[in-house]
Amino acid sequence: MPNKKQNYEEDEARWSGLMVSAQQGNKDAYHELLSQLGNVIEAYLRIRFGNIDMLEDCVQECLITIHKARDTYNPKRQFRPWMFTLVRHCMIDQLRKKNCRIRMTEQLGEDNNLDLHNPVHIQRIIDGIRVLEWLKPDYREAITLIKYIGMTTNEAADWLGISEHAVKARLRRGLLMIHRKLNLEDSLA
Amino acid sequence: MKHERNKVIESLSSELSATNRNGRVYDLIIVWLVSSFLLAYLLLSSIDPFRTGWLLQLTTHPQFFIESITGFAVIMLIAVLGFTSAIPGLSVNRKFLIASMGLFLLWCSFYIFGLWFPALEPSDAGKRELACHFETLLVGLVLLLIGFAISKRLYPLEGAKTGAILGLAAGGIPALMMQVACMYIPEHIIIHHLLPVFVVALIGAIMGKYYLGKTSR
Repeated sequence: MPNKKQNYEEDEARWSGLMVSAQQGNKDAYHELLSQLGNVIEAYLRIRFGNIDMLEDCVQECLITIHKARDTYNPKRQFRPWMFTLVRHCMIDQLRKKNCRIRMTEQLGEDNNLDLHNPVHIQRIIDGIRVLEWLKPDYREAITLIKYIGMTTNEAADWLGISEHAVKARLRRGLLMIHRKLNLEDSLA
Repeated sequence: MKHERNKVIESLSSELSATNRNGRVYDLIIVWLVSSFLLAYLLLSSIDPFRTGWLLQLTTHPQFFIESITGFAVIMLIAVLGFTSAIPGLSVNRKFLIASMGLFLLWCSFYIFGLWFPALEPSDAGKRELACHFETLLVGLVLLLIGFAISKRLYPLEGAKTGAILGLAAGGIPALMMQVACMYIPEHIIIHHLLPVFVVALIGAIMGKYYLGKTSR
């Protein structure tokens, strides 16, 4: 059974080779590369952000970003850090958009059965979503309510009993913490 | 959903064209440095001639020479930091970063040391007609804009950071040139040559956020 390190090295060599061919204008190699990366990015985002309904949009945005930045890949350097840096920034950009609401594909019995005052329901949304588990409780609350459940900052402020300004600050810091944790996670990989 | 993804991949593949850049950045850094020093020299010398006897001062006053060469080295290193920060995933060697920042602080501290022990006899010989801080700022901004145009060819993800670092390098070039173009008085150098470097860096950070950052794409 191939070990993790072997798979890592094989992927690295394969993707680097395909990108070098693509930089030389080989469209078939590029098509193959993007197809493989699409699956990898989908798995990466799903593990960290959960089974969200905008997952496919995010994957496509990441592929477009990789396409725009393809000139910056140097074959003398590793492929993964280059690619995942782009993926992380792309995902955080999506999350930062004001109208971004990353609803779960399987809501708890549809919206009208979701009891926001029931901590068990909220916890079921959070469970298994790595990025939320990383966060301090205050930031986790803000991101869960606004980004996963879909409240406005005003609604979240009313629900939490704090000012809208405080909610926005928690949201901003929470997203920054996610960004830092993603960077750290990938640098330790 | 996968069908839509395939359409995106088809579209991106069909518009693929060959590139010869391959993530190279050092050639761009050299181009920017050479052209920036030349342009700064041309602009500053067209406004006012450089201080008489500066070349002799470089060869006969070791402290002055060390100040100047340190400034030159600092600008090289910071330019490397600035342009490499525009390459996704390219982490800068920590030792390189510490050396660059340390050398920058050393360069600035030479002039503070010079308040008590100046490298040259303080004199207003070489005083420029136009306010030299204005010249440093203006030339620095021109070089910054050229730096932006070059770094846009890369893919800067943190526009403010790249802009700030490029601003330090861009402002540093005319500031260094003032070492031989303007009068040598340490207090004057700190206020009118060095401070504008930080102003250019601040402008670089603000402009970089919008012109280089993700919001510009």
